[in-house]
Amino acid sequence: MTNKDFDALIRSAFQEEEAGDRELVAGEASEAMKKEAQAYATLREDLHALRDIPECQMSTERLREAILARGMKPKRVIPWWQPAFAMAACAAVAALALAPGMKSAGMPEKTESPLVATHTVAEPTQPLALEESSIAPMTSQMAPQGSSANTGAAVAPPLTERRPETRVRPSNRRPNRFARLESPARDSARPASLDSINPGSAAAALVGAAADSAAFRSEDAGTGAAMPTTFGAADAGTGSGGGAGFAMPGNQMSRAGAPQNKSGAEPVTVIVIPGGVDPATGAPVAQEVDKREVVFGG
Amino acid sequence: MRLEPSPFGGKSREFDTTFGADTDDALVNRARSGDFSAFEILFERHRNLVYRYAYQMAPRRDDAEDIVQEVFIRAYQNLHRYRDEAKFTTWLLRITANYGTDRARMSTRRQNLEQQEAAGALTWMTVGSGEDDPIENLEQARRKAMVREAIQNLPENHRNAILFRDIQEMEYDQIAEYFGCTVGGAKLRVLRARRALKDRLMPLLSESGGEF
Repeated sequence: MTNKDFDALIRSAFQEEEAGDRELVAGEASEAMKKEAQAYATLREDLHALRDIPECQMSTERLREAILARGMKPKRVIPWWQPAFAMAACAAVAALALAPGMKSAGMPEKTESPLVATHTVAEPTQPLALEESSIAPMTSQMAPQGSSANTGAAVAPPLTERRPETRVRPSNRRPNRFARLESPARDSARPASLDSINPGSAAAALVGAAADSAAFRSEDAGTGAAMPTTFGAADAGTGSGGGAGFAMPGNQMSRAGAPQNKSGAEPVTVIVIPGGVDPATGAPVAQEVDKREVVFGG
Repeated sequence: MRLEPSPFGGKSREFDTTFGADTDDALVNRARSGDFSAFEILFERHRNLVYRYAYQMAPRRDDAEDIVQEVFIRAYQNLHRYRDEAKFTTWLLRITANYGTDRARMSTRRQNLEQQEAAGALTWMTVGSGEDDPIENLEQARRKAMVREAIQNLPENHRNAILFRDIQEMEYDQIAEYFGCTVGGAKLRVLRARRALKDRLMPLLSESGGEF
């Protein structure tokens, strides 16, 4: 018996005969087919028996009360910021999609970023410069003794280690150091000789305005190795490399310290090292003197 | 009172049209605009359609009426989603079938067994007439319960095909609209569903000593 015959048999059992079904069923009048026809007729009766169900007694009042009790679905209110948020998200996705080109170009900057952050901390702010100003006398004191490179390395290794080799500062922020050196104010502040303060000692040093000049002199002395921290990488190759650690604090101190010393609003002190040795400690004797009592110059 | 044939088949069912001569779509539009009486007319017109389907899913009158209530509440809450392309009855039956499926999924096996047992007892007490032989009534109730169980265990497409055609007496074009197929396709689905139902029923009936 084919599927076609079987379908015809089912249709006949459910009294939905189509044209030709009766002939098909009559042609295949085997015992098995009669049994199948009987089974489907019984199934039809069983299904029809399922139609006898108790009457629905649900009233419209019950429905009305149920709807009133349930209430309408709250309308979904779309907040005004959702479309804006969606647009922002789309823009972010678009930016990420365009990121591969930017990423390849920006990789060096990414590796450099910690150094930049470190340098930001070490940027010569005013208090930092004042703290470090105590270092300057030692370095400037030792500079004439010909050991500036060694002492500088001892003083400022952390700063030289943090120095970003490839850091590039905006050119518009780069100061013209030659203009500063040539200014008359600098020339007047610069002592002709440190020995003029205390002719008997070559270790005399100045802090504040005088140290500023000393720092500029240290720049002139070819301390380019330390300069990239302040003036950029291009200058790094021009220096001799000597006194790298020496020049760094001097530079920073001089920029921050000099204006404050010149302002005169606060009592400015100058530390003078006359050249003696403290018998108790064995260290060079330093004396703190009001700036107004000191005459600079030769 | 004027009587007209049921929209589904019209073989034995007749509908009272004193609710008004408005079409379903017109009543839906009125109900959408806030006229609850229009929705009440729709309810009176089609509650038996939903109830007959619901009763096969939950063979207790209370449960079936709960289903009817839930279906019409859902219909009222979602009237704005109803599209005029389909007939209102088709849309209503779709809600009923979906809700029946969800309800069956939510209920545990134990609850189903309890419901079936209670339904069998209730059917035997309520449906059978007192004049018939009580043993025969019990046998009929048991057989009905088995057929219902077999229908409920059918795949959803087969179950709906059987319920629509053999219980609800829907025309094939209505079934085709529900399934989204041609009339020939609907006929084929009904044939396949009947064969599947018979294949499921035969072992059940032979186990219980019944004949098929």
